[in-house]
Amino acid sequence: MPQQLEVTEYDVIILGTGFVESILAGALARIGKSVLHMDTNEYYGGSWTSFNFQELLDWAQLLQGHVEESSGNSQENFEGKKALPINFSKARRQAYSTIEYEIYGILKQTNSTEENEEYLHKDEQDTSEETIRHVSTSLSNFERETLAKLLKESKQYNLDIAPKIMPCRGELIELLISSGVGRYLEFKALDKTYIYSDQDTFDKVPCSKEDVFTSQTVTLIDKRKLMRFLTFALDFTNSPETFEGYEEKPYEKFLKEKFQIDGKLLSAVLYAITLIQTKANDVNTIQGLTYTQRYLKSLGRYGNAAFLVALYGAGSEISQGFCRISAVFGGIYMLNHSIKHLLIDKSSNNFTGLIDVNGQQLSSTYLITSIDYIPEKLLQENEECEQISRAIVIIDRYIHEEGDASLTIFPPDSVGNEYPIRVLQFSEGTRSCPEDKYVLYMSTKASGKSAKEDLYKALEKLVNISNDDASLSSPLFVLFYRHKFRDATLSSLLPDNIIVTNDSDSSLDFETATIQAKQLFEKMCPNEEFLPAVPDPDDDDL
Amino acid sequence: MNHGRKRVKPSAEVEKLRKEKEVTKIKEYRNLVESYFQKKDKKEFDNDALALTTKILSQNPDFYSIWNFRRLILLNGLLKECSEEDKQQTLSTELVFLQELFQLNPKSYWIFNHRRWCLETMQNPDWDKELQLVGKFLELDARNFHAWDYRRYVTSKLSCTTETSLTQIEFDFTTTKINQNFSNYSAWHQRSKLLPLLIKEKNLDEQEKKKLIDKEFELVKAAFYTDPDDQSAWLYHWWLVAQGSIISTSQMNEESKESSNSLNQNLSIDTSERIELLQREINVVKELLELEPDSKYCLQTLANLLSELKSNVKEDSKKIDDEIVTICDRLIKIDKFRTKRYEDLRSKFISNQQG
Repeated sequence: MPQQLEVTEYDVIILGTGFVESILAGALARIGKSVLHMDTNEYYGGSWTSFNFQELLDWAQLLQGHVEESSGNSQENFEGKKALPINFSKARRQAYSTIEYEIYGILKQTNSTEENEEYLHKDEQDTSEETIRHVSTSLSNFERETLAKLLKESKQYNLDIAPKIMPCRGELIELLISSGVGRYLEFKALDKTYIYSDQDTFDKVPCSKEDVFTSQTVTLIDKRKLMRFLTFALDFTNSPETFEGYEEKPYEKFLKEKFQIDGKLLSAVLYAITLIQTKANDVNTIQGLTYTQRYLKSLGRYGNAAFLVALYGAGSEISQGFCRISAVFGGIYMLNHSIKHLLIDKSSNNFTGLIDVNGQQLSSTYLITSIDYIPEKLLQENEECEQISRAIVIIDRYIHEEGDASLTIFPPDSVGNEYPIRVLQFSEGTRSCPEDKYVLYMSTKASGKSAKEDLYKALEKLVNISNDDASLSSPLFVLFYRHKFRDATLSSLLPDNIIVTNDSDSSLDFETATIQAKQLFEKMCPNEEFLPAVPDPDDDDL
Repeated sequence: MNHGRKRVKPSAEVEKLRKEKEVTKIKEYRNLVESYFQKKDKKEFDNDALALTTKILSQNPDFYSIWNFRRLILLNGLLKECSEEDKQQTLSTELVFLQELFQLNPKSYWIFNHRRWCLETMQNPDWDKELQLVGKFLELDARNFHAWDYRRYVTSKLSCTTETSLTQIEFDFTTTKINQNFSNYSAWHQRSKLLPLLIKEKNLDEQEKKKLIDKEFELVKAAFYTDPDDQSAWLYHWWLVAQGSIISTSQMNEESKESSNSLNQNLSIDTSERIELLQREINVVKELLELEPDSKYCLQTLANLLSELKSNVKEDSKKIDDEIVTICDRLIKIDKFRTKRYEDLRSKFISNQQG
C-alpha cells in the first residue's frame, strides 16, 4: 500500500536534503511554516552526503552507468496546468563526469596466504556478490584481497562526497551555536597545515606565534616579516593607512610591496592562510585581508587550530541536524520518495504543486529545491559552468604526521597544476575510516581533461602510487570524479516561487553555502528571525 | 605584574555592591583575628586554636603570623610525642589543606613556606609527588615564579635523595615551556640557572661548550626575531652575552665570577674570541634593526654590545662613540619614559668624543 499523506497543502515543499535545503527546512519550520521535506535518495544529505565503502562503490558505479530517459512525454497537462517531468537520476548523473576508481594490492603481507584465502571466501558470502563480481573480474589476487578487506570493514567508513571543514570563526559555526544544532554534532580540530615547496618538500605552515617561533624551516627574517604581517592582518581595519591605495589591487602586490613578503612565505600566506582557490591575481587586497583575518581570528578559539572537522561526515551530519530542528517544529520527512512532475500554472507561470511517485498531488506556496529536481525544460544548461575535480583516497598510513586532521596545499604550477590543489587528511578520529587507515580528500578547480589528470601528479607526491617509494604510505583505493557547480541563479525560466539552491562549490568550507541559505530565507521571509535559539528543556532559568 | 597585558576596570556600580558585601566579611574576619590574639597571648595550643587558624588562613593565606601560630600549635599538640605514622598522617593532612588553599591562591609565599616546613618535618616526604604537583601549577600558569622557585627546591631535594642529576631533564622542561610561549621570564631565568650547571656536570670541553652556547644564542635569536617587543627574551640574550665572557675562560678567579652581571670584564679572556662574539651579535641585532628600526630593545642591546666592543678594540673608538650617540638620540625619541637614562648614557660617549 503506497504511502499517502493526510495533509496535501504546505507552506513550503523542499526537494533534496542537501546542506542549503536542510538549513532552510529548519529555519522555516522554526518560524511556524508547514514544511514537507522529501528526497529521492534513501539517505540524508543529497550531494553533500557521506557513504560507507560499499555505498561509495555503488554510487560510483551508478554514476558511471547509463541513465534511462524518462518514459513520459516532455510535457503533459494535468488539470489545466503544465506538468513538467522530473528526471532526478539524469540530472544528478549529468552533474558528475570522469569517474574512475582503482584498487591496489597491499604489498606488505602481514597475514599468511591461507588466512587470506579464508578472508576472501568469507567475504564473498557476507557482502554484495554483485559488487565483487563486477569489480573483481580484472583484479589480481592482491587487489581482490584489498577489495574484500575494504568491503568487510565497509561500515567503519564515512566518506564525504563533497568534503568540507569549518573555520572556528565564521558563518556556519555561529549558526550552529545560535541555532543549537551544534549540540547534535561532534568535532575534531584541524591544527596542521602543510604546503608543497619547490624543493620537493612539504613545509609546515606556521600561523600562531608559537608555530612561527618553533619553525625550523622559516628563516629569522621571514619569521619577523610574517609576525609583523600577521599582527597587522589580525586587526587590519584599524590601520587603513597601511593598505591605502591597494584596496582593489592584487593582494599579492600588497604583500610584496608593503611587507616584503615573497617566495615561500608569500606562497604560504596566499594559498595556505588566505586559502585562495584560483590564482593570486584573482584576489584583491581587501578580499585577501578579509580572508586572512578570518583565519587568524579562528586560531585560538578552540586551541591552536583554525578549523574544525565534524565527525561522521560534515555534510551529512550537519544537514541531518537541521532536518531534526525542522522535524521538531513539525516538518514532515519522506526519504526514498521520487517526484514525477512539477505543476506550473499556465497564466501566472507560478509553481502550484507537484505529483509524487504514488500519483499524489501535493501543493505549496513555495518550492525549494536542489537543481537535480528541476525539470529540463526550466533549466538553461550552462556549458561553461565551474567544475571541481576530486579524489577520495584510502591509505594505510598517515602522510606527514599523525593526527586527527590536516590540510596540505599544492600551490599553482607546483606539480603542473593550474589551480591550487587542496588535500584534507582525516583519520579514525573523525570517524571517516577504521583505526589503521587514513582518508585523503583531494580537490581542485578543474582544468584538464579529467579529475585524474588534474590530481594524479599531486597524489604521486603524497603516496606510493607507482610502487617505487616504500617510505610513503600505500594507497588501497582511489576514486576520481568531477562535479559541476551549477549556479541556480542562472535560469530565467524558473517561476518566482521556485527557490533553487546551489551545488556544493570548490571552497574548503561551508561559508558560501551558509550565506546562500541566509539570503534565500531573507528573500522568502524578510524581517523574520533566522533560526533563533531553541529553549533548552534542561534550562532552569526559563 | 601583568606582563604588558591590559587590566580591565570594573564599573562604579559593581564596585559599590562589592564594597557592601565586604563590610560584613571584614567584621567576621576581625572577630576571628581577635580570638587569635587572645589564644596566642594565653599560649593556648589546643584544637580550637587549630580550627581558628584554619578559618583565618582559608580567607587570608598571606597572614604569616597565623601560619607561625599554626606551626606552634602542631608542634605543641598533634606532633608532640607521637608515633612516626601519626606524624606522617598529620602532616599529610596539612598538605591536603595547603593544596585546597593553592586553588584560591597559587601565588602565596606563605603557603609554599608552610608546605616546605611540612615536608621537611616529615620523615618520608614524597618529592616525586611534589614535582608532579608543581608541574601542574606550571601547566596552569607557566609564569608563576613561586612555582618555578618551588620547582628548584623540589628538584634539589629529589636529586639529593636519588643521587641523580635532574639538570638535563629540567633544562629540557624549560625548553618545552619556552617553545609553548617564550614570553616567560621565569622559564628563561630557570634556564640561566641550569645552563652553567649543565656545562659543569657534563664536563664539556671548549668546543662542546661553545656549541651549546651557540645553540642558546640561536634559540633566543628566534625568540626576539619573532617578537622584538618581548623583554624576557632580550634579558636572556644580555645574560648570555655576559656569560660568554666568563664561561669561555677557565682562568677567572672566584671574585670575578661573583660579579658576573657586568658586561665590562677586563680579565684574562681570549680577546679575539670575545670580539668575534660581540661582532656576530652586533650583526644579528643590526639585521633585525633594519626590519624594526624603532625597536627599543634592539637599540639598547646594540648600545651595550658596542660599548663592550669599544673596550676590547683600540681602533674605531670614535666611530663607535658616534654610533652609540646616534642610538641614544633615537632612544630618547622613541622611549619617552626613560629619556633621562638615555641622556645619561649619551653623556658618557659625548664626553669621550670631546676628550
